[in-house]
Amino acid sequence: MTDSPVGLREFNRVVRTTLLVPVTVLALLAGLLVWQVEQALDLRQHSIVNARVSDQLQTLEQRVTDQETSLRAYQLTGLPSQLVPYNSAAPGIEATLAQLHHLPAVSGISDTHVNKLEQDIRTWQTWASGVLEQPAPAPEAVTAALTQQGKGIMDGVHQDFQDALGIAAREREGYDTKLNQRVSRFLQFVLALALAAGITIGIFASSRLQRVSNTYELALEELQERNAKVTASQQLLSTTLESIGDAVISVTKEGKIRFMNAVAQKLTGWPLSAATGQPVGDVLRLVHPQTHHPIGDVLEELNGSSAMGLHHEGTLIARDGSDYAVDANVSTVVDADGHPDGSVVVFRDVTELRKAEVTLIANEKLAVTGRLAASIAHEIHNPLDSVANLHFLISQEADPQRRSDYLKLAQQELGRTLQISRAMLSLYRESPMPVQVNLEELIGSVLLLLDRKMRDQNIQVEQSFTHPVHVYGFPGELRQVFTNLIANAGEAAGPNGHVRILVRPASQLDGRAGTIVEIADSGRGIAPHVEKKLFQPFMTTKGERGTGLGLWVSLGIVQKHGGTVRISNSTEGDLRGAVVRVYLPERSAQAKAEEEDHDAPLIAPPFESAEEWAFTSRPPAVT
Amino acid sequence: MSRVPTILCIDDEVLGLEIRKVVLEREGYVVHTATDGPAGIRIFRQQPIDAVVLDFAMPGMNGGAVATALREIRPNIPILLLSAYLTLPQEVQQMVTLVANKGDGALALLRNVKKILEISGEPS
Repeated sequence: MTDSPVGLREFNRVVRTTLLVPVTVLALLAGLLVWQVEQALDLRQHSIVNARVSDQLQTLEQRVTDQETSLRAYQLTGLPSQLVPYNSAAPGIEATLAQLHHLPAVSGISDTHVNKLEQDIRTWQTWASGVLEQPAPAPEAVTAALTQQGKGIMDGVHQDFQDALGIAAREREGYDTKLNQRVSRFLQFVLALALAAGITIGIFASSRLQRVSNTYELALEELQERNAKVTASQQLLSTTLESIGDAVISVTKEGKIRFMNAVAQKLTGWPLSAATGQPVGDVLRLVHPQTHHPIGDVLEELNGSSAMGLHHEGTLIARDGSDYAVDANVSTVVDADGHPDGSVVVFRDVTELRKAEVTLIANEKLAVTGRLAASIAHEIHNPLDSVANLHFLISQEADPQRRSDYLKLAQQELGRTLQISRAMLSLYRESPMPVQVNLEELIGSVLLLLDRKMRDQNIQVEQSFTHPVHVYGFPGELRQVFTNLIANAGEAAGPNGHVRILVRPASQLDGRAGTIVEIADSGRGIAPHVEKKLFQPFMTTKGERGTGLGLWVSLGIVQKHGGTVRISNSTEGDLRGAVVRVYLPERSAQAKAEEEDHDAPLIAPPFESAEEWAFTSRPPAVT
Repeated sequence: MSRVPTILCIDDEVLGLEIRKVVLEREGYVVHTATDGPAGIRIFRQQPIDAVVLDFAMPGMNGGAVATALREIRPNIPILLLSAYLTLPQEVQQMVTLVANKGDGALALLRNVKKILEISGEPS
């Protein structure tokens, strides 16, 4: 019994049968009772009918006796007044006789009896009529014979009555006996049946209840087991949440704090008890790293969007006023039915990381100069060498014309030195605000610094500007970007290689205002195993000669200007190496932000081509 | 050495090369010039050259390569290698008689040229 599978359905079935069986048995019992009662009522009805017939017979005998008495009195007195009862009884006799002809069968009195009774009564009535038709005799004339004759007839009538009453009495007695027997038998039956039903139901219910109890017990056990599992899994989740190094905040649909792990509590400075139910914006106060303007509601942008996380970088202002640089990711949580059920904010303290990045960016700036150092040394020493030689010639020369020529040449060479040193210094000298930058000039000065490097390797550099291009930004940083990218292209192209720099408006392609600088080389392109890591810090293909920070920092700078960098392998044209495309918006997002004094909107890149690779790691936040 | 020494100057910087030529001519040397390695080697084969003043950083063929080629023709030819770089590869330094920095001035140049001529010229 207990080995049957336990389930709600089984449980319901058991309960149902436990109820159904006794109800069915009791209903059958009740039906039986009703049938028995109906039978008893029939017998009772027969007895009642029989009693009524006896009454009728007795009434009729009384009336007949009244007539006889009345006639006898008339005979004895000769007074007609004595006949009043005789006459008054007559209609009753007729009516009763008529009724007796329609006796129900249950009376036991047959038509033969009734007919004989009527016949005898009629015989007496005929005799009585004969007596009354004769003139009233003198009382003394009434003979014994005459009275005896009437009496004889009447005796017959009385005999008939007694017969009929006897039959009725016997019949009634029969019915009563039967009724008594039936009632007594019925009582015994009911008693026995009730006993049997009681015992059956008792046994049945007991067994069923046992089963229900077992089922319930099993269900309870299972429930407890499940409970234990749920508790264990909750414990595991909670331990996991508490153990991970990232801060986790669970937020309800209404934007109220539902849960915070230990790291989140520590970073925000809010204990879970105080934070629960608070609006997330009050607890997780994120501000822009530079402007310190609040970064609106981190959840706002999630509304209506997919469950994919949104990334935020900012400064977290803790409850006690201390601040941390944080990276936050916001994702929608969906319930079992796929409906959104709040969100989860995961963030981490990146203060140390940011500091390290600042150092790395500074290092990379130095590395760019280092990269140029040899070239610059050459560019400066060559004119200086000429100047030094000219100085000697001037000191030795007596001819004024020649001296003047030498001076002019010396001045020219000094001018070249200044130009080089200015170009180099402008890598470092940075304006505090974004300014209008002439890209043609900027790239020209970068090429001036790289000229020696390129010429040493006999690399042909082509540049093409379709129109005068101005962007808004930080010239020193942009110089760093293009120095990096063009030097990379030169190194990729190798001796006797080719580098082509093409500057064109982006709107020609896709309607987005801005500029695309395309740097293509005749190298071997980017190897597949490198492509995914191109923009990661410390990624270098140059071994000891590279810092591995060039592209990473370049991307950071370009993104700061609201632009993007894409690298692909060229599949058409004469240069089949790598192609780097730098997109710079007409007016940089940063510049706009500083002007309009609010957060920079995220500008989507205008590149669509599938063969191009986007960066796969976060670029540094260049400030 | 009875005749006037003949110097071959090789440098891709045309202006610097011309000025250097004037300085050396004023000192009395006969000077030939070439603006790249292959041209220099050609002159070297055709003319009686006593010493070579060679620039290191040149497109196509650098000073080291030119020196190697010259030494293949005449292993004892004195070569003064001029460089704007502070350090040069060891094997390049071994390939020449003397290495000097550009920009040291005309007197240093003349001194260095004289020095390499003496080093190789004395035994002959």
